[in-house]
Amino acid sequence: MSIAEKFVAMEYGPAPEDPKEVLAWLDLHNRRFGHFIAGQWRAPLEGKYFETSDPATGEKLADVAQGSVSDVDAAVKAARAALDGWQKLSGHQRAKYLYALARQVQKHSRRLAVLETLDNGKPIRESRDIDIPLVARHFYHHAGWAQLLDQEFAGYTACGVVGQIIPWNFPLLMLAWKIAPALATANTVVLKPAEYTPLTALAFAELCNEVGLPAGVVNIVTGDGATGEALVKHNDVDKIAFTGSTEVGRAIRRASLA
Amino acid sequence: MGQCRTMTIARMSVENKTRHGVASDVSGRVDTIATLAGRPLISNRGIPLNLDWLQQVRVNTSAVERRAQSHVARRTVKKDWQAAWLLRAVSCMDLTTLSGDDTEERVRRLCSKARHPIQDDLVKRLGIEELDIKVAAVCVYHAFVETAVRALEGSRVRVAAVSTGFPAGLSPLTERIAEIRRSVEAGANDIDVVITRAHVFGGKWQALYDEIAAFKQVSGSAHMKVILGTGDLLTMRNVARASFVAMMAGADFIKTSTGKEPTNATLPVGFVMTRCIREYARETGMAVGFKPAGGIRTAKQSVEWLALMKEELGPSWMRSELFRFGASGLLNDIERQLEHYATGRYSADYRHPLA
Repeated sequence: MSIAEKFVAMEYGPAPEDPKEVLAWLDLHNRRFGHFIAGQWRAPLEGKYFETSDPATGEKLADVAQGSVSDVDAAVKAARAALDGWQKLSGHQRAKYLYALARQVQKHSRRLAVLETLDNGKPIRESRDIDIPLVARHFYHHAGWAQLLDQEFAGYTACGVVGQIIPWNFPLLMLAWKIAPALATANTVVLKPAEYTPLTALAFAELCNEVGLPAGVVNIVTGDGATGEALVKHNDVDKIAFTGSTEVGRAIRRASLA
Repeated sequence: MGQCRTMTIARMSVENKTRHGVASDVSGRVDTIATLAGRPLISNRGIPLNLDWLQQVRVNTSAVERRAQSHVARRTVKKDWQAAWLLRAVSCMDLTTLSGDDTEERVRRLCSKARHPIQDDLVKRLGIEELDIKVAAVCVYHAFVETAVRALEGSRVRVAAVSTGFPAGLSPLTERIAEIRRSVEAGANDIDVVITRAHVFGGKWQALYDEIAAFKQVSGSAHMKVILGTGDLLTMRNVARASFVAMMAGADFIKTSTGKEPTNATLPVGFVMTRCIREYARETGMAVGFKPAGGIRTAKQSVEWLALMKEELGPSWMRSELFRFGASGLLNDIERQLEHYATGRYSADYRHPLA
């Protein structure tokens, strides 16, 4: 269609968000991601990877590590090792990290939004105008709570190492509302994103390092249901937080009772 | 926005059909100038002043502001479409010069720019020779109407004259009416009239109606654009009521501002006025045009306004018959953007012929 025809039609036309920055970021990682354990990228111990793709085009975006029992174990150990130091910090000191994370999410908001849309397939309008701004606000909000913890929750203690499993519908937002309160209340976490949408969690892991979050406070292990099962069944996890289907929820309940 | 009138719309529709008899009374052919949601509309002939209708006008200002805020963030055009939209903006432009230091020479220069708004090499690169893009009108003071008419002879560009004691609108009524007559006789196709803002503040709707109706009568076949001076009107409700009175009195266009108020055309005001136009069209079957003026300086703004028209009123209001920009500096920026589109490089704004 020529410009003259478009002049007559006066349609909006496509206006895609430019994925350049995101693709550059994926290339920077050679389109292959390990687990994020103790502040470092670690290749999966069993060497298995799976593909994550753009549901809009079916194109492969990157290879992501498939977490095994031993990977989960390493992550839990890292979280356990970091717990003591993290709990020794005052609420205000933890709040500083949460504020920094919120700020970092805002700084990288466009890249995160585009990455979310590429990986999940949701409209850019949702990821850009809803998901990512809310992610930042969750971190700000819980940074506030971290400072009020002693006054408002006197006598409460932290759970310890928390295993967190999140679904694919709001990948980074789910991560935010699991991780932010856990960190604010002096827990350390091992988080497993959904196998369909692991990329924003991995991008978030990088932000954790950028703000200087102590190693091991946030660990990200990617993988499918088997990885989640390994996390649920791990003996040294103090609490499991899960959002997902009813069946899996029931299975987790049964497993964690044992 | 204005939602509280939904209760009364059914009644109004019946009333209008019987009392005003629009859109069905004319024997023979009716000239359709627009369609709104599939319904053909005729040009505005005015209706008797309906005070009940005015009484019920409400505007939720926060909602309007929120809508305006999200509108700019959620509508965009890129690449070819952007070029096409910018060209459309040019074709809807009332190229304006309204300064104390206007001269015949400046008006002639403006007119030649109006005939030929985009450089030949850009036209060729964009492949739009067939569109033969010109601006919609040149807008000047009465003193320069004849100059403009002569300079624009043979082109399709209209001559608009600001009138009725522009910009204050406070000279004696007979004087203002004579002014319109003089401009029409001098050959102006469009007459931009200013309302007495005091009538709005005092709620003197009958006086406002009579004033505008008198202007309309003397304008004859020239298109009358009624300038509400929205920057002066203070509340959105005043803007909406003044819009309705102007339309009832027979305005062909309602126009936001003179360009001389402290704030001029803003998107929130645009939303209120276009909703009024929509409601008026729904009730009476008559289409009124819209002209934002003042403060529209960038190509991006022009796209936002066009998108507003598309969203609120539809494609009929994206043509110069029913939509105009009042602007002086806008064309320059649009040229720069078009040049960037065509060549991939931005030029300094002084590189383009002055508009």
